[in-house]
Amino acid sequence: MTGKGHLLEVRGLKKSFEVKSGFLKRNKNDLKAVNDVSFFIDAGETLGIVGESGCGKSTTGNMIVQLLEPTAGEIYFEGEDITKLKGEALRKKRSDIQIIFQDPYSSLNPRMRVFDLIAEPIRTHQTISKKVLEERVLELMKVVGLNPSYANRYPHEFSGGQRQRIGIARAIALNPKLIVCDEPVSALDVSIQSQILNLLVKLQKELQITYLFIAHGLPVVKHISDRIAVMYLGKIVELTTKENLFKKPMHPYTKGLLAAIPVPDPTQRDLKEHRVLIKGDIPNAVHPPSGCVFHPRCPYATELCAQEEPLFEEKESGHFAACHYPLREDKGIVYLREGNHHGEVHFESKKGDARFN
Amino acid sequence: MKEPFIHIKNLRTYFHTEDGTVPAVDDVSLSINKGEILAIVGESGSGKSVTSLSLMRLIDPPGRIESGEILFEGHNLVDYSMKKMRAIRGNKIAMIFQEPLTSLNPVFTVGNQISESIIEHQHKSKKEAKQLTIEMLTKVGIPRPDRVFHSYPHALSGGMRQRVMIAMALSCNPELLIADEPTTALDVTIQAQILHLMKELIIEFETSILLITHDLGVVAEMADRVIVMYGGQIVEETDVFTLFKHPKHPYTKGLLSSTPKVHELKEELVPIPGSVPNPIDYPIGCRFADRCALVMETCRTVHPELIEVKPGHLVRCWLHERKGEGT
Repeated sequence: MTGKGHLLEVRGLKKSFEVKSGFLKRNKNDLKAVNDVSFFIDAGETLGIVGESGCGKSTTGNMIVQLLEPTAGEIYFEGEDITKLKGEALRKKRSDIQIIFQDPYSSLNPRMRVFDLIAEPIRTHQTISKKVLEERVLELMKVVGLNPSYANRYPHEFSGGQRQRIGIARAIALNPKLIVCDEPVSALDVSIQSQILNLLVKLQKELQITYLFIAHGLPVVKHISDRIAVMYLGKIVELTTKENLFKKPMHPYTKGLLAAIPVPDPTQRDLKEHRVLIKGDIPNAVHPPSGCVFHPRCPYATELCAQEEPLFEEKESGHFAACHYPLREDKGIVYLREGNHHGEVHFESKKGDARFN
Repeated sequence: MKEPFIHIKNLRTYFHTEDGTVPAVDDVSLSINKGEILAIVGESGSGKSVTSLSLMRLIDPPGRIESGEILFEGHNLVDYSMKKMRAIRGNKIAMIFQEPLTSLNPVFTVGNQISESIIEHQHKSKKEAKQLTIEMLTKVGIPRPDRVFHSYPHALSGGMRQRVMIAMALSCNPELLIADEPTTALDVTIQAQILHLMKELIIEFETSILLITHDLGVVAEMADRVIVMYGGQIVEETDVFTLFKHPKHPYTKGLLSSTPKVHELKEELVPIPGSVPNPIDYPIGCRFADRCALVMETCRTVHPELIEVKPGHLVRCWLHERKGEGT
C-alpha cells in the first residue's frame, strides 16, 4: 500500500484515551480505542466498517474527519498526510471530507431553520451571493428528497428519516470527495432505513462520492459496501470484498458475527441451530487480552493465540486477516445465497462446520 | 398444549395529551396460547409496547385503558385493583425490557433484587430464596453466580444484565413472559446468546412468550405466530411461516422487502415511501393508505376491518376483503 493512487489511506492509526479509576481517580490507564489500524479506500468505492460496541469504528471515522486527533499514525488523503495539516490548509481539506452522524436528533441545532442548517457549511467555506446560496440550498433539499417549501421549518417538525435527510444535505453541500457515514440508519425504523440507504446509493452514483460506512450490523453494511473491514477491540481483524467476506470468512470472529445475525426466514431456523455462537462478552478494552485479542472467545484458540499477536496480512489476493489459523472455505454453512430470495436454497450439509461442533 | 389462556378483547388504550388524543392501541384483540411464542412486530408508534404495558396494567396518565377486556384465567385484569395486579405481575406474568440497566435498581445487589420477588410471591425464607436465586443465575448462564449474587447492576455488562433480568422474570415460574425488545440494546453476538437462552428456557419452564420487536430477523428465529401492528391496530396476524412466505398486507410486504437480507448476494431494498401518519389525526380510511402502492378509492374513505382470509390468517386490507383472493 502506498499513499498514492488511493483516495484515502490510513497507516498505523492509533488513538488512546486516558481512563481514570480507583480511589480519588488515582489509577490512570490507557484505553486503546483504535490500535494500529491500516486500510485504504479508492475513489468511488464504499468501504464498510463493522464491529460491536467499543471496537473503535466510530473513533476511526472521527479521526478521518479530523474531529479527533490521532495518537499515532498517518491519514493520507489524495496523497497528503492530513494529520500534519494546520490552519487554512486544514480548513480547505475539511470541505472535502464530511460526516453524517447516527442520531439525527442530537446532531442538528434545534434553534436553526432547515435552510440555515443546510446553508451553514456553504457559508463557512464559500463566499457566494445570497441568491446563489438560496438556489443551492433549495436544490440540495430536492436532491435529498425534502420538500423545498419546508425550508423555514425547525428540525423538531421533521421525522427521524427526514432529519437524516437534512444531515445528508449538509454533508453533500460542499461537494465532498469522501463522506464518513457513522451509523446513519441505526436510529431509524426499518422502512425508513431502506429509504435512506437507497438515497445514499443514488447520491454516490450521481455525485461520485466515496463512502466510509460505519455500522454495527453486517446486513446494512453489506447492502451498501464494496469492501468490508471487521473491527474487534480496536483492531481490524479482517478486510476483504463483501463477496469474500460472506462466502469465505477467514477470521473466526467474522464467522461468528455472520452466524449471529438473525435470518428473516423461518425455514432456516433448524439450520441455524447448528451454527455456533460466540461465547462470552467483549473484554475490557483497558486491559485487552494478550496475543490475539479475540482468543478468549475463539473456538479454535491455541496457546500460540494467547501468546503471540497475529499479523494483519494479505492471506489471499485482496483478502486481509489477522489470525494464526485462518479458516478455509467450508461447505457446511451457507451465509450467502446467489440470486434472489425466491431462488432455491442449497445446503450441502446440515451438520455445519465440523470444526465448530 | 396449544390452547389460549390469555384473551385480549377490543382493547383501546388512549393517551390524552395536550395536543389531542392518541389512540395508541385501537381496538386490538388477540389471544396467546399455552407454550407458544407470539411476536408483535411494528415500527415506532405502532402500539406494540403499549399493548404489552396494558396487559400488565402499567399505563400511567395521561394514558388510560378506555375499553376492552384482558381475560386471564377467567378474570378480567382491566377490573383488577392495583393490589390484586401486584399478585399477578412478576408472579404469573413477568416482563423484561429493552434496557436492562434502567429496569434494575442501581442501589441493590442483583441477588437482593431477584430473591425479593421470590420471597414476596412464593413465600420462601431468605435462605431458600438465596439458594433459588443462585440456581436461576446458573440456569441463565451466568459464570460464578455466587459472586454475581452480591454484585450491583452497574458492574455487569449489557448481556449479563439481560441474563439477570431473565433470571428475575423466570424466578417465579410465570405463565407468560413479556419480552419488550429484549435484545435491541445488545450487540449481535450477545443478542444471539440471549435469544438462544430464551428458547432453551421456555422449553424448560413451559412459559409462553409475548415478544415485542421491530426486527423481522428475530421474529423469524423465535416466533410461532406473528401479529403485525400499524397505527395502533393489528393489520395482519398469522403463523410465522405464512407471514414470511405469503404475506398479504401491503405493509407486511413492505417491511419484508425493506429488510436487508444478509444471506443473499444480490438484493434490492424496496423502501416503503413516506412516514407514519400523525396519531392525533389518523385518516378516516385505511391508516396505511398514504404509503401504499396499491391504494384504491375505498381505502381513503372507508376503514377496513380485520378479516380472516384463511383459518388463522387475519388481514386488515380492502384488497383481501373477499375471501382467499389476491396475493
